[in-house]
Amino acid sequence: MYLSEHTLVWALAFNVVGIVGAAVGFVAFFLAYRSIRRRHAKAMQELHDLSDDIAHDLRTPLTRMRAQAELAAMGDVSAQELAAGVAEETTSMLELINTMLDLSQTGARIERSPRMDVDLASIVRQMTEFYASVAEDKRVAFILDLPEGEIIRSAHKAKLQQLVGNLLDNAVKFTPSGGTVSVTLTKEPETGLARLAVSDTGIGISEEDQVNLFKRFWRSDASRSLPGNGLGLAVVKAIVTSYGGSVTCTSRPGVGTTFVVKL
Amino acid sequence: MIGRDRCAMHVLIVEDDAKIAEFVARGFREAGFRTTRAADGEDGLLQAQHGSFDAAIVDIMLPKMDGLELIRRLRASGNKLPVVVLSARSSVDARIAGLEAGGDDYVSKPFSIAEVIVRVQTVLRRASADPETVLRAGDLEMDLVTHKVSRAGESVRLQPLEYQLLEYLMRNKGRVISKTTILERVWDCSFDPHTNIVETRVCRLRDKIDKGHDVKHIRTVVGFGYVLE
Repeated sequence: MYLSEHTLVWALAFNVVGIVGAAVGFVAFFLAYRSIRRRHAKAMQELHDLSDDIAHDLRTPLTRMRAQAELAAMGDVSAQELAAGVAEETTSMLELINTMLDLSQTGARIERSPRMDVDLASIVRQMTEFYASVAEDKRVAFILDLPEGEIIRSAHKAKLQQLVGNLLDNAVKFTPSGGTVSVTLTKEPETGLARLAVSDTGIGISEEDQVNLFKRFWRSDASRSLPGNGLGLAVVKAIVTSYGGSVTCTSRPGVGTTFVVKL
Repeated sequence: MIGRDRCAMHVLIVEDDAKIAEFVARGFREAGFRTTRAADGEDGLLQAQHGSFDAAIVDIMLPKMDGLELIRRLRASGNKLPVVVLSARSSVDARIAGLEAGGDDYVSKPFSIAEVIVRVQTVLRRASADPETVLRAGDLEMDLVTHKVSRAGESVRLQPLEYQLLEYLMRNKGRVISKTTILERVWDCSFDPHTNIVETRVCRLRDKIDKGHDVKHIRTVVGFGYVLE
């Protein structure tokens, strides 16, 4: 076979391209592999944390029930009281399990039912109506600024109820008597996003605490004496994120807090 | 709930867990029903087709034939027996699937026995011919057509949430209704708040209905819920 210098040059060129291509391919493969392993490790860690969290928070109601049962067996607690105690603890355990399942499914972007056109405005109206009597009893004023018409989003009604409900729940819980909770819902003309702001004149959140706010089970010192399981804001964040939105918090201790959700 | 001819209603309970089946059966018997139990889907289907039942409670997860298949076959044979499905809450699909297969209503696990009884009574009511237009409990009266509520002849003004709650309590007189049921079924709210929005409304309702009267209609059952008597 006759090979000219021409062929030699081509052969060399192909070799170089081949080697470079192989190198690039190898690097790309390595990076992808590393990224997948990291994500896998992260997912496993989250699963681990999730099981730990659930186990931990279920132990308390279980311990209470067990203790009360022991006392009932000794005759120290009546059957009626035990029944009431068991009912209350099982209700709170169930709520915890359901919330955690919802939270991890939402976080993992698992949607068990189809998205539908939901009117965010009517949900905000509905949830504020629920909280109206609680606010009134506590002498906390409710100021609402809601649109006349609808604000439709492709979402799940239950999740939007949870989102709005958790924000209102916190606002009312942490605002002392004589304070105000303001709820504003608008549509941003430039972006077309819905903007929900829940503002209160409550005890506020310190800067250090603001960092941990949306973490699962995290509770500020002030919140520990109030009802709740530390999942409310984690739920809000997970839902907002799953719909491609955002939630921000601004707060000054002693002055108040504002949460802004954009969807 | 006793039928018009004073003969107790007969309920079929298709549930494979023996303890659950027994507790539910006991609850129904206390409420004046007769009960029969089937431990798997095949037996459940046979009984439903050949027995004389007024209603059935069917668990989805059953050996031999699952609950959905049971209901589908029942409906396919033209049987219109009112069925309440026991489903797992974490799956909305399971609930929808239960209704689509031909079930009339559902209860999620873990459930309260009182709630299952309420669901069965509701489907029985729907199946019966005449709808009531006025609900009564002692001197408390609620006209479902005019939406007027009165106690001892005196008119009572209720807000929408209170009205819905009272209607539900009156329709299910004597049954304990949990806060979760009130939120999910009466007020269509899938959010479980930690602040006591249910308690506050019940308080308001009590103020309007029971205050100033010796006989109190609305009673709290600690840990379980509220009941109207």
